[in-house]
Amino acid sequence: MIGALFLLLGLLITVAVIRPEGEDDQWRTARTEDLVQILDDLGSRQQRLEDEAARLVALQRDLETGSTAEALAEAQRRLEALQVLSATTPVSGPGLTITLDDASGRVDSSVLVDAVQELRDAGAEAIQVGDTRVGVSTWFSDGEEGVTVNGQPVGDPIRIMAIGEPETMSAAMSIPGGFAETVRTRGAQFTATPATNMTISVTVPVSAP
Amino acid sequence: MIAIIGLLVGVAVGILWNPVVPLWLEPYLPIAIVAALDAVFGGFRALMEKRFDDRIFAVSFLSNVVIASVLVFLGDQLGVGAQMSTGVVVVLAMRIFANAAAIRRILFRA
Repeated sequence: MIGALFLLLGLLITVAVIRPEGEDDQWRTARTEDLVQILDDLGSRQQRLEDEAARLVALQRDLETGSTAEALAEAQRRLEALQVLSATTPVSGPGLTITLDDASGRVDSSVLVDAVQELRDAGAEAIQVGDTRVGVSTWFSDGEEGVTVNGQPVGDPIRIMAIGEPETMSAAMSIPGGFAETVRTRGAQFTATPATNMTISVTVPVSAP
Repeated sequence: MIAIIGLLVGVAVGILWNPVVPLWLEPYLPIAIVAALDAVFGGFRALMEKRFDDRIFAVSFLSNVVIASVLVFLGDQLGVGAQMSTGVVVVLAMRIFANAAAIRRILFRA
């Protein structure tokens, strides 16, 4: 009796251990609801990609059949998008102005890097810190007279301007443990002022490639 | 002794025969193994305490496997299969550790 039970146990263990060596074991061991979830994800991903493909096919057709004016307009649109991305053009629109009154001087470069990251995550198109436009190669560092951006002192109070959805960005700033809280725990005053229309006119100088 | 022989024969049969587990049975296999291991550790503890009874062992072995599988099956039907199998495995593992501790105390007096 005991021997039979142990035989059963040994058989079970062997079968369970050998089984995952199949070629598709990743799916074999998954549960039904996990598989349904994965299938759903794949379905919505396919939907997104199909939409993207349809848009691109339509664009291709327009470009092939349309006049040069359409091609020019598309090229212009891409140029503007890339200029905004590379921070080489002035940008205006709704945005948020953040003022940090850092009397104790405990706001350092890492805090500002976090601010830039969070603003970008919240959809900021253009960001200016102090008198410097934030581009792809902007750097922050801690100097003797406070934080510097690209080597320029950031000034006091620190002023950050961001173009984008003001509600989204101020929500992103004020989440618990977020930027506003970090700044306040470091003893600085945090003020965020939304604006329906503001302009960031500082640009990153374009250098020849 | 017969237990070890049985275990080895089981492993050998499993390797040689290499049976295909039906798909519906697969989620219950790990649960069944853990439940059976729990019964084995319980039985070994009883052996150490000199109150081993093969009838009790057989019943606890089979009922452990069946109850654990039924619980997981029920969990699957209720839509909490993953949580249920986690819960069953956690409880059985705790029992295995408790039994292992008792065995260790008797064997090594530590």
